[in-house]
Amino acid sequence: MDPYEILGLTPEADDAAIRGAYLELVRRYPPDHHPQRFAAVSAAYQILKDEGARLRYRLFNLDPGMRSPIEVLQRRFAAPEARKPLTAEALQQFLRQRAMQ
Amino acid sequence: MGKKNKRKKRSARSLTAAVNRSPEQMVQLAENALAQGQLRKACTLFRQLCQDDPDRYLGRWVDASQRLFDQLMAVGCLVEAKALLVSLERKVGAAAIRSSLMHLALHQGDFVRAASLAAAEIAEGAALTDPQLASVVDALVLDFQEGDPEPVLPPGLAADRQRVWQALGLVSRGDFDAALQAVKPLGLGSPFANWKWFIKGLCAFHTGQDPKACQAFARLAAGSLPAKAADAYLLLLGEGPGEGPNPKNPSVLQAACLLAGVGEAGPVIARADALWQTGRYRDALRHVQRHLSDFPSDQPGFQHDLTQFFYNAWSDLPERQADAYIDFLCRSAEKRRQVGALEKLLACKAEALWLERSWCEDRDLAQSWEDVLASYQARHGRQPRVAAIVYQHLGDLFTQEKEEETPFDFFFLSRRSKRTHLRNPRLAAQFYQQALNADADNPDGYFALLGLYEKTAEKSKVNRTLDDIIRRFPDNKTALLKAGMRCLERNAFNKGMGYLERALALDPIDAQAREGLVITCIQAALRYAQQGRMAQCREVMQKALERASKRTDDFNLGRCYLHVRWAVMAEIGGDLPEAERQMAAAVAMNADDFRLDYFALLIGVLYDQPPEGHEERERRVSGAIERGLTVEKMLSMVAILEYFRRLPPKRRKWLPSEETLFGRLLAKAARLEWLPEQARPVVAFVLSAEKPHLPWAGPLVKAVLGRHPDDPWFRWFRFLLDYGTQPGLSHANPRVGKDLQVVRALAEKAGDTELIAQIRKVEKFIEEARRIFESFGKDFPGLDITDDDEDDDFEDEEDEDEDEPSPRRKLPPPPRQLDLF
Repeated sequence: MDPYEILGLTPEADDAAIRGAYLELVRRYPPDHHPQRFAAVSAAYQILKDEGARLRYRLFNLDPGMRSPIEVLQRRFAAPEARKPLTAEALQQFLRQRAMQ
Repeated sequence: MGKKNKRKKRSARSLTAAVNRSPEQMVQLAENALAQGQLRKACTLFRQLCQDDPDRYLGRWVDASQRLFDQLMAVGCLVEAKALLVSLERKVGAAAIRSSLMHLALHQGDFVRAASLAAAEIAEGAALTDPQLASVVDALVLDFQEGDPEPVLPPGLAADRQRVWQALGLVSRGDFDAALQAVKPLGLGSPFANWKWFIKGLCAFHTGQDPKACQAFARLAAGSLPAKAADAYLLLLGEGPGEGPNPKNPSVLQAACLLAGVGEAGPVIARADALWQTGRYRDALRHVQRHLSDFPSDQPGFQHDLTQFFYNAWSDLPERQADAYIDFLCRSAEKRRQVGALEKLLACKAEALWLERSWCEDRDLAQSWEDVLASYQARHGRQPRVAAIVYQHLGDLFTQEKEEETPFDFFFLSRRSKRTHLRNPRLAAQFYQQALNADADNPDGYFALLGLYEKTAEKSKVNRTLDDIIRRFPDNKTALLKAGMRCLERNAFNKGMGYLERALALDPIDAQAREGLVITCIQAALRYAQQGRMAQCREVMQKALERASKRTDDFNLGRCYLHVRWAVMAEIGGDLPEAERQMAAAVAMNADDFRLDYFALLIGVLYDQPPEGHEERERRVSGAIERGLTVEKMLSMVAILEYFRRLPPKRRKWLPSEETLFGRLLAKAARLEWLPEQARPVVAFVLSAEKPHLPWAGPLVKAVLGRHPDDPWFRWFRFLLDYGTQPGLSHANPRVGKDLQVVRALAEKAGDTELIAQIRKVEKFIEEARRIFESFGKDFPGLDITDDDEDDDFEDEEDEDEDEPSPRRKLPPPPRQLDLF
């Protein structure tokens, strides 16, 4: 997943905003209780912590992140924050569509 | 005539023939057809029977027709299913087939009619199978209308349905606790229990409790609407095809995309995934390029993740396919130039990274990164920082160490390490310089250049670069530290002390700076003592003592050892009262006189102490040994000798005679009461010598094994004494493998991972040696595996290399304490 998304930022964020978001998330997800989440946040911060690191990530990152297009979709939903519930209308429509399939 | 037509003709012929049969024969035929799943044939036969005797055969015709209807619905033949129901309805009326009509209405999206039919089914108290009841309940839920359908539902069912609607609404608002509370009153016996589990699964899914969500979804009745809806959630949870929904099912995937908020991409992803899974990687990318308008994208979101996947996935592909994929990326970017600079940039980057990983000419690699830089600037404008990073990356690539290939690697096995050389130091220096030209404020660029010069052993350039770094970045601790250590290497002690003091001021707890400063002080003090400048010697030794440690096992920083050094220096400078004072201070801090005397003795040899003081100390050490050897004395000697082993070879030419003396003492000391953990470092010390004299360790190993026969470490030492400390060709003997297995079993029983790792290295060597022997077979008769002279030949070669300094030689691993030069 995109490191900006893990930290809840946009690509325009500067060093201070990135550090602030990182510290906030580390406080919210201590390693004892959320080891995976903490590891993801730490890894994202290492990638974005300064301009040089961000540029190096953009230029030399080789990690496809996933093994298939479906995994791209699945990985986006790995974090509970990414799982936004559908609105009432969308949920009704979703259920009706599934009934018709 | 085609197969289909033949089958049709045969079927028609058999049906025509059936007309001429008796009713019993036709019933038999219909039953057989039903049993074989030939539902159309069975329906036709029962319909014909029904024409003659409706009272007797109508029910069976309706049953067969409903089975056919279910089959048609399952394969999505809605039109045919509808036609079947119409003919049935004409014959038996709507009430008899209400359940099927409701099923059809649901699939056609007529949810109001489906709900009415479901309500009517319940009102009439129809006997429903479990799947039929599930469909009825699904129809009632999907109505999503205020007020009950006609006819009105019984109050209990209406209340349950209301709870499900309420809970679904609460889930939509993100109020998961309230949603769970809303469905709590639904009992397991309620027809809506299926929906309760679905809502529980939804709440668990949205709160990140994946196992709980899977557990809840697993309880849903197969074929029900909640189960179909849950398939999409399970797909997002990454359930495998064996356990969860089939990811190749496009409708499930499309539903998952809808949940992910990328509903329009669903069919594209489904197709691309199918292509990817079958190894049609380029077709998958082409499909996505054609059908997703925002692809590729560098803005956060799903399209960006997909972009990252498709432009980096080659790194996980087999080499040939990756090559073809990269080729396609580049051609595609060239063809689709109008699409934008991003695709060009991504393709160039992929190609450059691919070239890095495969063999290519240096100039091609450099050109590929120049192309990346040009594409980056076309997309994002001119950015000197990016240019600096790219050039520095090129410098790093050309600084990489490569192993020299030798035509007869086999002969050397692991006896000698392969020589390495830098890929292209000239180009590396050129690109590092370009990086500095693009961004002169980046200390990393200077350090990279410094690293290159260190590797090529261009000392004057190292010094110049360090001076440059310190001038530009006066508060850079790393630069100051490196500069200080360089000064120590070239005996510029005062300058070095200055740098290291500045580094330590910036980071007072930096262990390397502290140790470097103490060592520089010691070296400077020794120089002053040799020159007879005792005041200056005292001043810098005081400075060293300020940074000393209380530890008695640290021969560099330990306060007592600094006093001992100072005492020896004072003797060298002729200040005997000072020498006595310092020795007394050392003894006051460490009661182990023998340890201090032995350290002082060897330090005296190293510092070239005058004979008077040295002889006196030698007498004291000899006297202590003659009074009786103890385990503690032997351990002290090992620790000190090990410390002096780290000196450069030219400065420890005297050490082998000390080690010989120690070896002789060890033969006598084997009689002492050694614990295995005490004896282990001593044996390890003997075996780790450059040219180990194995008989020295023999008696001690034997003595310890006598008392502790199953000690894994001593069994290992015994093995080394029997077969040699260096793996050689003689290790290919099968007996060696068996002995090794015994040691390994003991090590595994003791859980000693360090020993297991050492054994594994020898095992690997043996496997490799066997493989090579087998590959030669009878064509390789000249090699006598017991000939140890082969090894000696190699050792001679190594010795020759030792005297020939080479900048390409790999540096030895750093010691725990800094070497005392």
